[in-house]
Amino acid sequence: MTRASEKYFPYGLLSPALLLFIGLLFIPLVLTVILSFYSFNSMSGIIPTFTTHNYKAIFTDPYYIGIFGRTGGMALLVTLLCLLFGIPETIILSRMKSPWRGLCLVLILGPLLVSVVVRTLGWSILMGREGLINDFLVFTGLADSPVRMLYTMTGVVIALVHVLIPFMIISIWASLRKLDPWVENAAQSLGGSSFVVYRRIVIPQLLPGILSGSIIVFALSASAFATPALIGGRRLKVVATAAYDEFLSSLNWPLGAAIALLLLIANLAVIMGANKLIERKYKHIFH
Amino acid sequence: MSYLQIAGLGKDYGALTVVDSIDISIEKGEFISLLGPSGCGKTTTLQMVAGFATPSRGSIVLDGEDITREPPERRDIGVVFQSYALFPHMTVSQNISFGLEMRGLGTRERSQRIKDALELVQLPGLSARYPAELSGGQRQRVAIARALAIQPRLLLLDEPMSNLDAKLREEMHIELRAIQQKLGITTILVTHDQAEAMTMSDRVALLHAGRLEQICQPYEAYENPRTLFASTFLGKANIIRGKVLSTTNTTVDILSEDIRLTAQFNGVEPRTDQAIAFIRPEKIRIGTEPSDGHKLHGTIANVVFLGSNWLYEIDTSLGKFKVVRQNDVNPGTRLDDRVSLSWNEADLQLVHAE
Repeated sequence: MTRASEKYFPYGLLSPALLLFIGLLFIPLVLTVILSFYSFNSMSGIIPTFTTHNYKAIFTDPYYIGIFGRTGGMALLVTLLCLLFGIPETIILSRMKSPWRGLCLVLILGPLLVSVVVRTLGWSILMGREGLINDFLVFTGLADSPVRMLYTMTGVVIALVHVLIPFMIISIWASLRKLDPWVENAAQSLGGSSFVVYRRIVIPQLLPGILSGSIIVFALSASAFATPALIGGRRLKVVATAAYDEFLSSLNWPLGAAIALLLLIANLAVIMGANKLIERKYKHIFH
Repeated sequence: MSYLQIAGLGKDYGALTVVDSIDISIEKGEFISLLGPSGCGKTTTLQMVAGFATPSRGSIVLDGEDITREPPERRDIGVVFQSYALFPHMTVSQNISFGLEMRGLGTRERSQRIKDALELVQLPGLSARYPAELSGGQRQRVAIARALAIQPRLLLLDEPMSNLDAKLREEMHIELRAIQQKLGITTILVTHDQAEAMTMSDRVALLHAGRLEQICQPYEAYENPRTLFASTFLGKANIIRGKVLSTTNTTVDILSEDIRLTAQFNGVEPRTDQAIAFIRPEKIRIGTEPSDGHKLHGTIANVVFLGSNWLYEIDTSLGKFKVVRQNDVNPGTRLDDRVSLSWNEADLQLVHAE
C-alpha cells in the first residue's frame, strides 16, 4: 500500500457511518435550523424569510415559558426520584447472592425490552379511574373516591421514573463494579459504622456513576415524548409535545422547529455543564 | 497471659475447611509472621482477627478482652491491605484523618497526628495529593500511616509488599521493622515470601493446609524445621528418603539406595521404619577429589552464578542435589566433572512427613 492510500484508508472505513450521520442527522438538523428562522402566516403558510420572530415569541410568551419551566421541573423531579430509588436499589443488588442478583437485574432491565408506548399504555390502564390502583385505594379505604392520576404531573412522573430508572441503575452499577471491596473493610477497621462507611466512603465513590446516570435520565425525561403525550394528554404539555402540536396541529412548522431547537440547546447545555463538573471534580481521583 | 491469644480458631466455608484449628499466643510488642503458600488459610486467619470474617470455632482474646464476635469497627485494630485500599476520593491527609474523626478527635489533635504519621513513614509534603497521584510505594506508606495514626492495639499487615518491586520491597522490610520497633506495636504480617517473614519477624508461624505447622524464631525455623513442608518452604532443601537401619539416642542411620547416612533427631523421632531427612544446600561442601568423610559422589549437572553464590546441581545416586557455594574464589568447575559431597553430621536432620 502506498503512503497516501494508507492515510486515507481509515476514512474509507468510516465513510458508511459518516454518510449515515450526515444524511440522517446533520442535514435534517441544518434544515430545522433554517426552518426555525422562517416565518408563518395562517393564510399563506410557511414563508422563507430570515426572522428571529419565533424565538422572540417563545421567550416572551408566558405560555411557552411555562411549558419550558414545567419540562425542566419534571425532568429534575424524575432525576431526583430515580436517584432516590436507584442508589439503594443498586447497592442492594450488589449485595445479593448469585442466582438472585442475575434474576433481579433482568427484572429491572427487562422493561427496556418493551416499547415505551406499550409500557406507558400499561400505566394508563393502571392509573385510570377504574384502574387497579384506584380500585385498590378505594377498596382498602385509603381514598374515598378514585384519585386522579391520568392527565396529571404525578402520573407522568411515576411513569417516566419507571421507564428511565434502568438507565440510572446501569450507570451506578458500572461504577459500583469498579470499587475495591477492601476499601469498605479498611473504613470499618478504622472505626466507621456501616452507615458512615456508606455515606462517606461508598456513595462518594459512586458519584461519577450517579452523575452520569443523572445526565442520561435528565436528558431523556426532558425530551420524552411518548409518556407525557399518553399520560399527560394534550393539556399537560411539555416541550416535546408542544413542538409536536405546532408541527401537526397548528401546522406552524417554523415555531415548532424553534421549540425543538431550544430544547436541544437546553439539553446540550445541561449535559455539557454536568460533564465539565464531573471532569473537573474527579480528574485526579479516577484516571 | 499473652497480649493476643488465638485459641482453636477455625473457619469453614460450607463443607470446605479453610482454617482447621489454630493456636497462637503473641506477646505485647511482638512481630509475628503468618507464612505459608496461597490457600494455607493465613489471610482468612488475619481476616478473623480483623473481624472481616466470622470464625466457625475458637476464640480471639486481645489484651484480656474477648473480641471473637466484636464487629471490626470496635476492635481498634489497624490493617494494611494488599491493595492498600486507600479512599480514592480523599486526599492523603483526609485518608489518615478518617480514622481519627471516627474516634472523635478535635481538629488540632487530628492535624498533629496526621503530621506525625506522615513523618513516621517519611512522606511529609504529600498530604494534599490524591491516591491516584501517588506511586505504589507512596501509597503503601500512606496505608501504613493511616493504620498507625489511630494508635491501634494491634497492627495487621496483609501481604503489604506484594505489589512493590524487589528493591523497594527490601527497603520497606527494614523500614517497616524499624517503625514497628520504634512504636513497640504488636504486629501480625501475612506473607508467602519466606525472606520477608524471616527478615522482619520475631517469630514465624508456618501455616500449611489450614494448620499451624511450627511457630518459632526465624533462625530456629530455618535450622530446625519439624516437617517436610517446613523444610522445603523455608529456603531450599535436599530431601533424602530411606529405610531406618538403627537408632541411637540422638541419631538414626538410614539406608537409601545402598548408601548409609546418619541423621540427627532434633526433636523429631522416626515414627515408622521409613525416614525423611533434609540438608540445606549451603551446608554441603563440594570437593573435586574423593576425600575422607565424603558422603556422596556425583557429577555436575548445572551451575548457576548468583553473584554472591554459585548454585550447583549435582546428579547423585540419591537424585539431584542442590549445593550452594560462596563465591570466594572462582571454583573452575565444569559440567560433568565428578565431585564428592560432604557435610557435618549434625546438618542432616530428620523431619516428619507431615
